Amino acid sequence: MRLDRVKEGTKVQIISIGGGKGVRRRLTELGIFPGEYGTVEKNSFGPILLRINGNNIALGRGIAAKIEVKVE
Amino acid sequence: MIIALAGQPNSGKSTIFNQVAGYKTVTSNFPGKTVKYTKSKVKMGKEFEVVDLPGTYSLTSSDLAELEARNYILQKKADVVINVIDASILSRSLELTIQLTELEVPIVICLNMMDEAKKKGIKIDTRKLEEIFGVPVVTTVANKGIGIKKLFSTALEWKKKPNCLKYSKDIEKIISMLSSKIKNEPRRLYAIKILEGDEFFVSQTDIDYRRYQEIIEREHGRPCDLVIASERHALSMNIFERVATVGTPEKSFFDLDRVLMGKLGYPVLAIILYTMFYLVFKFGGVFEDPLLNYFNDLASRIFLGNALLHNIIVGLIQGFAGGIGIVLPYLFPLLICLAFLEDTGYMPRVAFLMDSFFHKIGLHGKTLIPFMLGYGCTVPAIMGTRILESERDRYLAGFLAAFIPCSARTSVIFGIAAFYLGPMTAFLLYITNIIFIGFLGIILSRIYEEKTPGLILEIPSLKTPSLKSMLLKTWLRIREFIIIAWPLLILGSIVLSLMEYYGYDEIVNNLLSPVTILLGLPVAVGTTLIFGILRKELSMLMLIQALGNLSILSKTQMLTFTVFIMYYIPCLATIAAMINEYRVKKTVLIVVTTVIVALILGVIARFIGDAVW
Repeated sequence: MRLDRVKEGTKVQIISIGGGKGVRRRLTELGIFPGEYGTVEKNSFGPILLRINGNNIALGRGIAAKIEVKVE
Repeated sequence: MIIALAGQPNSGKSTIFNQVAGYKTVTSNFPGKTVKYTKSKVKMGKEFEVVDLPGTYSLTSSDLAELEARNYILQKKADVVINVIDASILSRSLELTIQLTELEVPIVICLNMMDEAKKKGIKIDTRKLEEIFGVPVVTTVANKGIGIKKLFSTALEWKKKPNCLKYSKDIEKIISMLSSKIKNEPRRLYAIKILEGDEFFVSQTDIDYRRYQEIIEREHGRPCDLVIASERHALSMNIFERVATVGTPEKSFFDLDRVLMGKLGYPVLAIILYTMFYLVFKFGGVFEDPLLNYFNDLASRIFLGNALLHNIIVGLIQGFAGGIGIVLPYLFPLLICLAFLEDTGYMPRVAFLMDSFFHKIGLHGKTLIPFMLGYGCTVPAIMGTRILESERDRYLAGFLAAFIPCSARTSVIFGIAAFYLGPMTAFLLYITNIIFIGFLGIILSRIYEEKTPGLILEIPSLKTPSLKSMLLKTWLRIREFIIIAWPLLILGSIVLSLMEYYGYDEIVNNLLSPVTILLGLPVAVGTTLIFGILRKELSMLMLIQALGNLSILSKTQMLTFTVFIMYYIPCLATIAAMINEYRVKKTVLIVVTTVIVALILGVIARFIGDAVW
């Protein structure tokens, strides 16, 4: 499932990160790796807020759409 | 002896730097603020130099700031590197630490924000961490000054290189195969970075690196850069599990972020901005009138036999009065408010809220951070555009930021428009300014059509700002005004007096008369507009001096003048910053646009003024 379609408050596991090398690098720098677990803290309007390893990351909807996740 | 501070954004590097450097840089709470590095001489037993490197998430050269930081360490300019870590997000921070060890220079680990870590229930075995990395570990709470002395005394003594941390066997095999072919030192670093496809390291050698990358890609079925990054991630998670235990976090009875970042966030933002506006106006208004009256009175009572000397003295008084009576009363509360918003960590939250809106004008939410800084001063706003990833985004953000009224322009808006035409007029000027910027944003993003990469922004936890840090930050920015701008202002004031005395102002005024006549302003205003290019507030003070008294102007003229000042040519310092960021051609385009916009809006203001008053 795409990260931008996950409901608020859901725990997810990152499966893969699409997009180019640049985006991938910036996401992995912030701890968003395939295999990691995170929680979708906010997903209603505007960007998505993903909590991962005790850290909040705001992701634009376009970016979130490139992240494939599995709902736990 | 040089000690460099390296760490991820928001790890508290600048706070540590300020503690020892006597507050010579500005600290703030959003990713990537300290872009240019700052240094300072420190005396602590013996004298040494501390360098605050830009905050970097990793050492891969995608980002200008990261490249700068890495090159600095790579060229062995620093004797010791202090790796500042936000202890509350240790596992992620260790990824940078691992990369720093690969640079093979002496490192000291500073576990900062130990209080935050404790709140999150994280306990760290520092002895174990020392053992793994082979480096000293010092714990600190930088904003309270705890542990700073020990940190530096440890760093001053430390000369050993850190341990080499190993990735998994198959990767290490490729690394050693590759590094045996490399002549550049440190070889291991070169090998790892080449596998990651880092442009800089790849360009330094002529090895057929794709061959090695392909071996890894075949085995792992993923792009090589991702494999290496995942290796590093796994390694730091592993270290984290060995040194840290995570207990139950302290329960906070109220989650402020639910309000700040939810739907209620918008009215809260509006209230915050309005309160800021109100405070600045109220505070400044109390001082402006009595101070100006006092100095005007003083200037009018001066009688000197020598007319030349008299002009110089009057110019000096008026320049001084302008600084203390008009600029400082508005600058101080504005900067305090901005420091508060920065130190609490509210700025990234605003970026989160405004992201959808900014997408409509072809930019993304992060742009708001340089914009907000722009209300203080356009120069940091222009420099702040570096936090944006693409060159096009940086340029558009800088282009638009040039139109945001900085504190100098604020003092003109408040000093003339709010003071003589009422606060509502000033408020409307701000609102139309925001609408204008949005409108210009839409046009520019059509011209420079490109898909923005979208928002990726860390939202650091909210922090209670320390009053000391806020005041010092404000003082630092005010000091800039006092040292650089104020003398310029006084000098400009004297020069204008002299020009009047010798009749040169006529020439300038005549040259600029097409502009002043078009705007319906007195011809004498011409000279003041030139001074405004030096510093915006200068034009208002010069105006007072040129006309003797502002109330000579009609309401419409005051409005037109304010509007023109708000939009025309950013000051010299801004132009310099722009050339630095965007090169001459693009800067010229911005400057020319501002003049055209200022003329058009000035004429519109003139007609509106005539219709209303």
